[in-house]
This record gives sequence, C-alpha cells and structure tokens, in this order.
Amino acid sequence: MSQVEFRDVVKVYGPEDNLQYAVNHVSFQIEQGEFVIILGQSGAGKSTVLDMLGGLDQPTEGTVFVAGQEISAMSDNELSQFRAGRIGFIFQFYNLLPGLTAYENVALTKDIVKSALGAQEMLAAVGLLAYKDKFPAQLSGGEQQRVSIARALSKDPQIILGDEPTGALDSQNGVEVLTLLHSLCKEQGKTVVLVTHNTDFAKCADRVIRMKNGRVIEVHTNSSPAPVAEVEW
Amino acid sequence: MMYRKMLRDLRSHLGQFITILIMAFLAVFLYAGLIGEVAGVEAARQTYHTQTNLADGWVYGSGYDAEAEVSLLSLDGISEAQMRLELLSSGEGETNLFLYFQDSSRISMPYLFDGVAFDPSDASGIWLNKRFADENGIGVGDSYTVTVDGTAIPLTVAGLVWSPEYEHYKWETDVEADYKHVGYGFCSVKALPEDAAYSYNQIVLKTTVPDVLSLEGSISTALGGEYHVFTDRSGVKNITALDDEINQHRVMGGFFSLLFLLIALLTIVTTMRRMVNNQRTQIGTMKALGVNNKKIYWHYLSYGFFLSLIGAAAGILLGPITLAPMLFDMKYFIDTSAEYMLPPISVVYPPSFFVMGAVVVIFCTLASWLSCRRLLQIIPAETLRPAPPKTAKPSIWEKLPFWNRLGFSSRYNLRDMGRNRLRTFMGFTGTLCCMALLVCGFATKENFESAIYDWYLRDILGDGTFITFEASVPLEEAERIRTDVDGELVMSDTIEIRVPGGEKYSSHINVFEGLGLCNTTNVDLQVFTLTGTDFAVTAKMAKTLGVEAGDPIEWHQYSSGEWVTSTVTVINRMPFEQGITTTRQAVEEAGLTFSPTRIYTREAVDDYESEFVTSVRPMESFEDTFQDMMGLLNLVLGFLLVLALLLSVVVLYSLGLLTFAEWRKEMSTLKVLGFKTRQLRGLLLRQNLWLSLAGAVCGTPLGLKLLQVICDSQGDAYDVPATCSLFNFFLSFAITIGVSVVVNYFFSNRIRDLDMVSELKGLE
Repeated sequence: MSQVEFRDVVKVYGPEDNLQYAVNHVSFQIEQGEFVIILGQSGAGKSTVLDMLGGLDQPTEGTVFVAGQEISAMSDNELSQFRAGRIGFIFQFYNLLPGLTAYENVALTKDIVKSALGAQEMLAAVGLLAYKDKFPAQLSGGEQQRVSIARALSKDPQIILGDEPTGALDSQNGVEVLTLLHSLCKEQGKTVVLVTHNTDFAKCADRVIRMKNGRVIEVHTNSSPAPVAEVEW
Repeated sequence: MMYRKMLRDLRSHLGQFITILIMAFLAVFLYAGLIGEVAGVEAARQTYHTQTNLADGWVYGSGYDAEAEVSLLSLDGISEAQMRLELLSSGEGETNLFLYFQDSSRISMPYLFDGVAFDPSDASGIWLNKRFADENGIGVGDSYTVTVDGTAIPLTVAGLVWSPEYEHYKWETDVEADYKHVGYGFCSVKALPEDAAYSYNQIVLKTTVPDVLSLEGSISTALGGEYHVFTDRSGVKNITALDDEINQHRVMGGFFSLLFLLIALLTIVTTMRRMVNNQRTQIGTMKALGVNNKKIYWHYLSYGFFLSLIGAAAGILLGPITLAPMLFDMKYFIDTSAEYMLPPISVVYPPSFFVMGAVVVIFCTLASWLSCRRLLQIIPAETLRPAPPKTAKPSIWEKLPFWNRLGFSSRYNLRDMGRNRLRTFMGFTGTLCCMALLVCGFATKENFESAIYDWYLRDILGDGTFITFEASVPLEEAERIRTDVDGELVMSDTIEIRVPGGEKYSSHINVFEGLGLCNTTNVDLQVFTLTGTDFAVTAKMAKTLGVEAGDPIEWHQYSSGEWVTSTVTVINRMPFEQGITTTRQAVEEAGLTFSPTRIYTREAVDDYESEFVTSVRPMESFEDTFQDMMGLLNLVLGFLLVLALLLSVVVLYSLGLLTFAEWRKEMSTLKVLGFKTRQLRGLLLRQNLWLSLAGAVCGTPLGLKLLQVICDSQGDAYDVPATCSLFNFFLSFAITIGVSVVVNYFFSNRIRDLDMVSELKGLE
C-alpha cells in the first residue's frame, strides 16, 4: 500500500452560490522514501494539497490516506497526534517561534513527542550547534530554515512536508537546504514532499505532480533524478 | 519550552502584563485590605463585647429599684439585668460628661487601661474615659470634680477605661466626635450626695433570644408599663456609628475591587487579543508541529492565569497586613487620631478573601480564553496564512441621513466602531468609569464641604456661640441668661418616633423658640425660621417613615414614656441629626415641658458665670472638629483621582495599542497612498475622542449614583446631597478628554515609525 494516497479529493471555499475549487477531484499516490515535488503556479492548489496531506486542513470531499490511516476522517485531537508523530513541516518563512532560541525551538518537540530526538544532535546534524543560543532574529534566512529542518527532524517523522522551503532563500542557502532534504530522503528513507513553483526542482525529484487550477494535470515519475546541484535558481 | 516562551512573551509585553498583574493585585489587595479591616474590627469587637459583657437590651425609664430588676430577671429570655443611673453632668473646664452611677458592674463593664478595675463600692473614685482623660491631661490619682445638677462632687480618678457602649460618641451639636470636650465616666452610687433623691433610670439586660425587641411585651408587663424606651443594640447610636462605618468600608471594598477587576479584564482582553493576533502564525506552527489545542489553549490561558494568580496571592497576603492595619491606625487605635475606640485589632483572613482571589483568577483566565478562543478554533492551515481583512458590511451608521456628507475619517471610524464592538465598548467603558470616579471624587468633597461649611455652619447656624446648660437648669434661669446674651433657647433630646401603629425609630428632636436665630432649611435648602406651632420632619426621616406634610406622627422623649401625636406641617432638610425640628410653642401646646439644653447667640460671648452653664463654645471650635473629616475627604478625593487617571490611561492606552495593532496594515496602505502621519494620527484620535466624549457624558450620572451610594453608606444620620456643580463637571470632563488626547498622542507616535514594507508583506 502506498504511504500517501489522495482519492478524488475536493476542497472548496466560499459561499454556496460562489464556490471556489482550491482542489478539484485530485487523486495520486506517493510511496515511502520518495522525493516528491508538487509543481504549479500561484493558486494551483498545491499548498492546499500539502495542508491536507499534513492534516492541517480537511477535504470537502474525498479521502486522504497516510500510512494506511484515513486522516480525512480524523478528529482534531487525532490529527494533532498524527502531525506530532508522523509529519515534519518546513515552511517558506521558517515559522520559528521568535521567543525561543534555536535550541529551544528544536527542543520544543520534546513537549509534543516524548520520543523526540535530542535538540543538540539535530542542530549538530544541520551544522548549527554553535548557534544554539541565538534567537531566530539573530540568524540568517538559511540558518533559520536549517533550524526549522532540525525541528522537523527531531520528531523523527516518516514524512517531511515543505511549502516553498527555499522560497525565501538565496541560491547558496537554497541548494544547501535542498541538498539536506534530499539526503534525508535518500539516506534515512524519509518521504519528502515539497511544494514549489520552480519547475527546475523537477529534475531532482523521484516523482513530480503538476497542478493547475486545482487539478492534477500530470504525475511524472523520474527514473533517474539529477543531483540537487544541477537545479537552477 | 512553552513556559519559556510565555516568560519571553511576558518580557516583550512587559508594560501591559505588569498592568494586568497590578490591577489583579489591587482588586484583591483593596478587597482584602478593606474587608480585612472590616473582619478584623468585627472580630475585635466580638471579643471586646464578650469581655465586657455588652448589654443586649436597654430599658430607659425612671424610679427603678431592686424589685424591677428581679421582675425582669424572672422573664424567659433574660439572663442578666443591672440597674444604673445615667446623669448628664459637667466635668472640669468646658466639658460635658455622661456619668453612670452603679452599685454593681456585671453588664457593659468598663474596659480597664490604667488604675484599678471599677469598684462599685468605692464612694470617692471615678473611672474616666481614657480618651477624654488623655485629651485633658488627666491621669490616675488626680483629683477630679464633677458637677451633677449643680452640686460639685470631688472625686479621685481611680482608673482610665473605655465602655463598649461608647465605641464612638459625640455631643448632639457636633458633626464629628470631640473627645476633648465630651466624655463619660463611671462612679459608685455611693458617690452621689447622701441627701440627693436619685433613683435608677436605666436597666441593661443580657438576653438569650436573638430577637431582643421581641421581649418588649413581657418587659412592659413586668414593669407595669413603667418604662420610656426599650431598645436593642441597633438603637444605640454610639454602637451603630461603627456599624455604618463598617458597612461603608464593605461597600467600598466591593466597589473598588470590582472596578480594578474590570480594568484587569479589559487589559487582559486587549493585550491577549493583540498578542494572539500577532502570534497567529506561531499558533499555526505549533498546530503544524502537532501541539494539540488543549496545550495551546493552556499556553495562552496561562498568561492571565499566572499573572492574576500572582497578583491575587500578593493581594491576599499584603492587603490584610498593610492596608487593614493602616485603616486600623487611622480609625480605631488608642492614639489621638483614632475615631473609634476599640481594643487592638488583629489581622484575620476570612474565607471570602480566597473566594475573591479565586474569582479574580477565574475571570482573568476566562478573559484570556475569550481573547484567543476564536483564533484557536480556526483550522491550522488557515492560521498559518496572514489574517484576512475583516468582512465589511454596511453599518448601522450608514442609515444616518447625513452619512453621505461625512468625510473619509468619520466614515472610516464609524465603520470601524461598528465592526469592532468589543473594542468600542472597552473605550466607552474606560472613559465612563474615569469620568464617574472624577465626578464622584470632586462632588464628594464639594458636597461634604458645602454641607458642613455652607449649609450647616453658615446657613443654619451662622456665626455664633453655644452656651450649654446643666440638665437641672430652671427654665426661668435659662430665660434670664437668654435675655442677657440676646440668644435663643434650644432644647435637644433623643426621641423615639413612629407613624401611628408603625415601627419605632430612634431619632432626634430640636426645639427652637422661633426667634429667628436658630433656623432650618426647606427641601430646596432655603433657610427659614419655624414659627407658631410649626412641626418639621427631616426629609430623610420622612422618607423612612413614609410621611409628608399633613400626616400625623407619634413621638416621645427618652426621658418620658408618653407618646405625643403631632401633625407634620413641613418637611425640612438638615445635613446631620435626622428627626424632628419644632417650636417651643408646639411642644408646650402638646403638654410637654420645654427643657432647654443650650442657648444659641450671635453675640460674642467668651465665658458666662453661672452654676448652670457647663460650657461656652464659639462656632470656630466646632469647625475644628470637622478638620479630621476634611482630611479624610481629601484622602478619598486623592484616591479617586489616582484611580480615575490610572483607569483612563490603562484602558485608553491598551485600547490604542489594540486599535493600532488591528489598523497596522490599513495604516500602512494609507501611508503608501500618501496620507500624512498627522492625518493618520487624527484618524486614530477622532475615534478615541468620540468614545471619550460619550463615556464622559454617560459617566456623570454614574458618578452621581456612586456618590449617592457613598452618602447613603454614611448612615441614617447624614443627609448630604449628591450633586455636581458645573465647575466640577467641566473639570472632570476636561481631565477625561485631556487624558484621552495625551494618551492618544503618545501611542500615535508609532504611526511615524510604521514599517510599511513589513506590514504590507504580512511579516510578523
């Protein structure tokens, strides 16, 4: 069974007489350990798909399965547990808690998941141990995103979801972050799903899902993905 | 980690959170202080009354002997009885003394401070009120002569004492207690001249029934109707004065606690709403990380919870040990500034303190919950996105006929107020309370000063002198002195009053001769002289009795059991001593004896040589007794002013911050469009000014209502109007609006420093 499966998922917004289809009858599957890129322009529905995959939002119609569980039928509490145990999020603007240091932002996961990995090790893994006592505002964008990745990894999630994780970074930091995520997928067997509008990312993905106007217009499997270094920024 | 986040959030919103902490503290502190004082006084009083075996019932009459005592003791419900003779006498110097001659001391026993305990068999000793003795430099062992009905009795001060029946007392013409000129003492009946034909005129009782007055029927039967007045503790003014004071403090404790709680809640709501809105993405992130809603709720509730908990705990801890003792010192201790005489009071912690603390914590936590509830209910994906602009709907204001003629700024503010009703309500309430407190503060001072100096001393009394008589002064001698000093005789007495067949009230009667020197005021506070058989009842007493001009009432003096029926001819008003004001002619026509107690004259009289004159006191000496009261009023005014300004600044500043936080994006847009900082400041100021104006207008009647509550809690003896002069209204108004403008100016500085790029990009 696939690790992620969207079955005829629909997400609509707005009043009944003027429904807006953010996601319009979307179906796809993702296998464990895949590096998946969801591509599309603004308003294509890719972030909404990612939100529903991560249990941040619920479909209006259809079902979403993750690791055999139908998350689209879960209660708010069950979804919290699901996100805590299985999902690691990485955001475009990092979303670190500004009131906590880098170390504390990562260690926060200990409050959520008892079995969370050590914050020091995670920061060391992303090369930021020396910055552990810095607050987010004292770090560069790339550094903040690496702390965000360390935070996501510390829960040892099966799936890492990134919404434009390199969107706010320069090319050098972007490459570093993407390399890090790619290596996590390939070396640790994590499933990584990234949303982006940069079509060049498709080169290094195992699978590419192209979306337009809320629909999946193409699902492409890349038999020989290129190294991250070849991605153009 | 969440607690660390909380601590850092607290630090970054330090001003606001300290305000919440202080307000929660003050709410409980004032409650614990004032109610702690009340509880402390009640506990001390209970002990004092038990120690001295304070009487439960008082029978006033004349000619009592051992037989009367025995017949009362045989009644069910009466456990102890003791006779005594109370005589109004004069001491050394210009002093008046209430003297008690007893052959035993079992009930209402003197509370000893110095010397030996009261000995009813000691014919040469006198036990003087300690406070009176201190004021006059009298000590144990001193010789002291009292004059009773013109007979001087030389005695030696054997002890300095208090009586539980005299927790607070004053001479009938005094507004405030004057312990230098008025005192009381205890003597043995053996101290009276052997040839004097005195008999006991009071019997004090201890009872075993809670409703003491229910014994009146059986007491009347036992005494064969030979009594004038039977009363319980509620009829003894020297005891009820403290009841009124305690009640006033209880009312103030409750009111101010409520007010500070309200400020704390308003501050919490504004602070938390602002913070939660600012942390929208952080909340989304926490949700995305898997933090469940319960944990996030608790995180945000904990701000209100912990701050109010610390504030309430500090209030409970400090109120009773700081504020309560300060009030004890001011009002009850033995030193010369004391108003009431009670033994040292200990701090007590009644359960209501903890209930009040819990209420503050619960309400503050609830306010936090209300502030973040809506945002925490939003699905995580939406929380991660910037807040959408509020949905605009046509507001009620748009139905105004002149809506189309309004400018951008007015329309913008009116729509904003319609969309943010809670914020609008907070601004309105804040200024309303500020105005109410200012009006109340200024009007309290104005009304009491006016009642004392203008109404009582100037209009009713005028500049003059009181010459007080011995109780035994013959009428002819009093009339001679009156003619000599060109004055007017006045008879004052304590009475019982009722409508025919109705409930009895202890009251007061003033009888004038109608010569135009002693006056009263009508319900419109215009001075007039009672003439002929005029019979006036004060408005407050008339309201209590439910009578008006033309109605009959019944009354009798404490010294006589004979009820007299009179018809009320006019309703008058007096600031102090509510009851009857009438003429000598009316009294004499009713078949009663006119027994003058003093003369009032406008002549300058320093001294008067007569064996029947006990004191000569010019009006200035009465004014001195008001000084303490004025000092207290200034303290109250200062307190209310500080409170009003604090309330206004806190609420308006919090409100400004909240408005600004909600308008940031719109302000940035307007700034980008070319609006000047000055124009945007004006936009913010306009709304605050509108709310302040509305609050100020509506706050005036609330302030007067509050003043009425304060006046009413003074007790039944006072009738002080609750009005506010135009000057004080405008002064309060100017302060309220001034604070609004200044506060608005300070926070509107933020408009100048607005980072338009960050705001428009939606960055936190």
